[in-house]
Amino acid sequence: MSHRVMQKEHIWTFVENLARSHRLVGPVARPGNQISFEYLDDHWRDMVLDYPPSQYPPKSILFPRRETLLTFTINGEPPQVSATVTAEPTAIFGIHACDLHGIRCLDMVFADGVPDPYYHARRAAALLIGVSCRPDAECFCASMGTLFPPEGGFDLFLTDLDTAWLVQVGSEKGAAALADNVECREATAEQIRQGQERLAARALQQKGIHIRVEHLPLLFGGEYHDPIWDELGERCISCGECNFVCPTCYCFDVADEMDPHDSTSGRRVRTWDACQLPDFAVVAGGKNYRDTAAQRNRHRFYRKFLYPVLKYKKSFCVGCGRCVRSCPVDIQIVDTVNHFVEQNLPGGKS
Amino acid sequence: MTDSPYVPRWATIRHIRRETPSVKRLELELDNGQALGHQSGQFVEAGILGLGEAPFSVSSSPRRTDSFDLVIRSVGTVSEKLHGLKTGDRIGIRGPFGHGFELARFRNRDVLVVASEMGLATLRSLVHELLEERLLYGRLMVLVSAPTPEQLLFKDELAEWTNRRDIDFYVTVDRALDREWSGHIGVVTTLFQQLQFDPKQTVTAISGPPVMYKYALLELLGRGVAPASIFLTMERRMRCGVGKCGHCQINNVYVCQRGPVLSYADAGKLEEAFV
Repeated sequence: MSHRVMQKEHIWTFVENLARSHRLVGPVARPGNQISFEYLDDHWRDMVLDYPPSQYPPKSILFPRRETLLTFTINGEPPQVSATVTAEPTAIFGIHACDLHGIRCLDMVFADGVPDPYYHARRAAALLIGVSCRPDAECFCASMGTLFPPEGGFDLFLTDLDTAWLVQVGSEKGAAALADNVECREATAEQIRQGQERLAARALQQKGIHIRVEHLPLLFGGEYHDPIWDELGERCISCGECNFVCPTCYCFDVADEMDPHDSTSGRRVRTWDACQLPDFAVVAGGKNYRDTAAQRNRHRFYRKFLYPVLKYKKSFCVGCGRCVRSCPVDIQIVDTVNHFVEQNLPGGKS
Repeated sequence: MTDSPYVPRWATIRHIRRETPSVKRLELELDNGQALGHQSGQFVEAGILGLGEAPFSVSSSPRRTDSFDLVIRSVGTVSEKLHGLKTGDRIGIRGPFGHGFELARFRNRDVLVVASEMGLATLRSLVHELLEERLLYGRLMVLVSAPTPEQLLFKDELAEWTNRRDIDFYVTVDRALDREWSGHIGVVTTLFQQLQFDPKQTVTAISGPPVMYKYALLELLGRGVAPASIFLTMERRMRCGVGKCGHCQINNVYVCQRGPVLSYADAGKLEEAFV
């Protein structure tokens, strides 16, 4: 992996040139101190590159909250069904390291077993350009192992060195995008060291889980019946927001819709779903296999800290803190994990 | 792109039979004479464009390749609509999905099939398959139950099974009027009292409502049947069928991938399996 250096003012040349061959997505500031990933097209100058975590991760660019799987017409025999996957080359600019890890998780999920062609097409057409971040009080990436961008999980990663951008080249595609669109120099060993230091320094002010990620399965294996699930369940209002803001949640529902102006054509659509919503596990006939908010909360934690760690050897919590920022009843993910850690220390409850 | 796992195949309804007031059996034939290619215990997503899909067990033997049966209870939007279709109508089929029964683990052993209510729709394919290669298995014991005589599925076949000498067949209903039923009354597990079998030599297949599993498992484990010799069908809200949408998860298990048939050695470790 090589490192290049780009003069500070050249970043906009790079963006402008990239926008000629790619649709451009990047973080923009919205009222209420919200940062949001949006399609920028010609107003790429609105992009902000030094920003605290966005309200939603850039997940929706690769896995839209609502997308058409099939279109169909039913006025003939056989009915005509087509699954058209269209993906334009898209540069997603300004992704923080935690969110690159989130995309890495989705890559694994959508490639597993029967691959998902819709995600795959968008992912293959995407150029992922990361940027060093400005953590806030809810960030805990350092303890989740997501402080640095994931190896093999980005094309370019920019670190702010005040007077210049250090550009870590993560792929051939990234190297080509850089070479084609902007002037860069080889980074010096000193600049590379400075960049690493900048990224590492973000860990200092952060809270964190008090256990190594690879030990999480051992911890969660024994906490299935802990009374804390009932406590969380009593507070939780089952709004599902923690799922919707999570960079690694991928559950969805599938439903058909007819065209409102043409009763012979329609589409099959998938929409984000959330395991915290009360009816997520209801089966035909009405039985709900996760009937209480306590059971649903536990399921969410296990789907971040246990099941994927066993299957993919990667935590599906990337430490972004979004579920905490968005929770209306202050369910704390770090405190909950640390509650289990403390219980398991010598002299702890269990 | 044509390799979307969401594109259905088309099947034509060849025959419709009313099994009970709320259950119909559809015999379906895939376009171009394709075989469904399923294993006993697997399921398909059956759908009507514009309304959506729902998961159904395949109720016919894998050896019957020119057509297959779905047995549909009218409980939701899709199943109600499927009930309204006529012979010659067409529906979309995706699948088969998941893992069915591994018959290699049944060979040369006695087989006990316990089917309650709609569970018989799931296990009928297995019973048919066992009967088609009957000599490969030891005793075949089949226990069937329904809430009332009217709600028994496949009544014609049950009558035939009663008369076959190579099946130990028992049937019961939870309740019945004297004039309509002269047989056993009680839930399916009450049939176990009439049944002697060698727990070490017996493999069991169970399907039915969740509450039945608890009592059937108590009986079987109590008699000494090994957890690895008990197979259950675990049905959840399988939506996508391809291990992504999350609705069918039991703890870390996607039922649509590793199930719907799980051994109790596996399912017994899942806290959410028998709630």
